[in-house]
Amino acid sequence: MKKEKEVYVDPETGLTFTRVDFSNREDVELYTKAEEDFADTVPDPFVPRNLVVAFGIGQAMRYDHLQRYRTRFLFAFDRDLPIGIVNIFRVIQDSPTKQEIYPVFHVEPFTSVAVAKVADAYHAVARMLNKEGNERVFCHIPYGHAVLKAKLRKKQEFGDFEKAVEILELIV
Amino acid sequence: MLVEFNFERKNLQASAGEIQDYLEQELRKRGYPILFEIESVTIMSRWLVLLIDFPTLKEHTLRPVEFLWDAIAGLIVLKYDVRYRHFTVHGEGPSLIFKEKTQP
Repeated sequence: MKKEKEVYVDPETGLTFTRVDFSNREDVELYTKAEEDFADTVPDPFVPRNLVVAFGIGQAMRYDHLQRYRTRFLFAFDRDLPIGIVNIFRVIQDSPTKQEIYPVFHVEPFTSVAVAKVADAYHAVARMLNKEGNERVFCHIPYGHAVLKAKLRKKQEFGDFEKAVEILELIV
Repeated sequence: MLVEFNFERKNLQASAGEIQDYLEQELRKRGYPILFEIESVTIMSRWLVLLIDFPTLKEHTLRPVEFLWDAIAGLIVLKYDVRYRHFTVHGEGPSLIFKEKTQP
């Protein structure tokens, strides 16, 4: 973990967030490992399993390069232990103004990471986004992750977003 | 539909032929769901460019076509130390391969 890529240290959990540098091979390999782990636990409804990791890294690199949806890609660390990857993007209001309305994020954890730590990562990212000036912060969690959902401090729940996830507003 | 995949070359050591063989084998092994034809693999001083034809595709749609294209780029990234940048559908944007203007 390189210090110059550090973007946020959460004061409550001590978790550290660093920018994913897709030009750095170590970062690419760590990102790919997280995609691999996540694909095993949460099947993508659109992408065949044997292409999902390739799709994940390919799309992330393209979105990062083109700044599509202003997506940000971060690693979450507990000291030197990687917790997972964090994807943050802006939801754009579906109206002529195209005004950005709120940030949405999700965490794709490594399988060896405890659910409580993943929940900490969710809250830490929410706090980071709040400190950046966002009054409301939303996250995706995969359906079926009841334990994680139970550990999140959430305000309200939305229905289907993309079939395989729920979208929640977190209490910051 | 002709699609150009653009990568920053970084530490790429492989030859164009090796890359083409790898990608063809990998796509066939994984049962890539749409017909494809690798037209060319071009290695420049800074860029790696793949030109792939998808003869059965008639229009560019966000899903499912883009995820299948990103998956191709991802297979290259998984094997080689390159930095994927973007794809361009021939005729929709600037090209590193075609010198003629692609848009009227």
